[in-house]
Amino acid sequence: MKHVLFQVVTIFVAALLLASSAQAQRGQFLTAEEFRDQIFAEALPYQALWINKAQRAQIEGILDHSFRGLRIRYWGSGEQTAWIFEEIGKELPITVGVSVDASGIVGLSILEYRESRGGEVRYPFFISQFKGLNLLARDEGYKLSGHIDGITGATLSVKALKKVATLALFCHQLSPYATNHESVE
Amino acid sequence: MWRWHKRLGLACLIIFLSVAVSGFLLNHTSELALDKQKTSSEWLLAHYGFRLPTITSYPIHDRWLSDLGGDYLYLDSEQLAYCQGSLVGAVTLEQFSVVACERELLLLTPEGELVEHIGAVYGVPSPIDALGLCGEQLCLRASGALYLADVQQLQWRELAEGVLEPSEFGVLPEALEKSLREYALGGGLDMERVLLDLHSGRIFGVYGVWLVDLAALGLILLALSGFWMWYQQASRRRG
Repeated sequence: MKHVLFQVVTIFVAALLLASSAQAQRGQFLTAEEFRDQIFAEALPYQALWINKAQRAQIEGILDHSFRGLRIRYWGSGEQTAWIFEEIGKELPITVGVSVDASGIVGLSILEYRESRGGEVRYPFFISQFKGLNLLARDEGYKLSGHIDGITGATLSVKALKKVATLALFCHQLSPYATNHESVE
Repeated sequence: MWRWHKRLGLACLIIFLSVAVSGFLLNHTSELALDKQKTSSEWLLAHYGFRLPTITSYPIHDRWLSDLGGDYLYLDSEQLAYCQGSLVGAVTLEQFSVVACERELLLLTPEGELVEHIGAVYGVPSPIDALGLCGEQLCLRASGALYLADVQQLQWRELAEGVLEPSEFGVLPEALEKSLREYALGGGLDMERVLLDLHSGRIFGVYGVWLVDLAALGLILLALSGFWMWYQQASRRRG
């Protein structure tokens, strides 16, 4: 009897630990304004990047799914821009902020993570891999200039972040803040 | 014997008629195109577990924006865009139409093309319960508070006092409502399915099947008793 009771208590505690671990992965970690304030010294107003048909097709190529909308919001100053995108990892959207300048990606932050697993993608050991990466135009489409190591159990979240990073680099080059403004138009 | 034969026949009359008529129609499914005829009976649809859509619609730029109770909004009869939460309002401005669902705003061009989603990440107060005008300015109400909405600069200024004139929903033209309803019900319910279930009794659940089984047993007994009565009469005439 004691043995059975011990097993039930162990299973209950393990379930509680698993549930609390899933809860710990989810959350809103930054608001849009906090993300902006981390990058720019002043409270810049939103800008809008208008997307034409050809650019939309390229964006859909990067995301590998349809993209609805005619404009994308961002902040820009000097040669730097900051973008916020939402991309679905496994089932729910991950809200990601990416800042870009002439040298490539300056930083990437997870503003909100909603999935129960894969939240490790917000930690610096993973995020730091994106720093300095640029956009490469290949026959098969746009790619990141460097390799990103995956995380076991977070494959889809990693894939989503790579798409968002590529998209931010693409959009930066369409913005008037890019030094090679024409290259992807 | 004759009395029991008569009683059994009367007791099963309705079921025999139902099975015979449905069987007759099912024998001619192709000619009558029963598989293509959809029923619009709300009772039958509800009985089969179809969720009947509650359609909410707002007129924008001479067109109709509708929420069928799912995740997507429809402009006339075309799917427009995903929108988080139920549709709560739509306002036509000079450059855009602004559409409010409970947890995000959508901007549309006068041609009905989606300009952008403005969700919680941009600080939109939510859940939104109404969108309209405060004087001449776009205004929304969320959690009981009124906010002036600047959809260009994405600023939401809470109003200490003010009166919101909410956008008014409209009544869809009959043909459009019918087509949206049919769309929301997917393939819908065809008459062949209904007749098959009526024939087997399954339309009334497990008890309906048992009832048809009992009627089938009754039909066998009627045949046997009918034969027995004829045989006895014939024997008497010969004897």
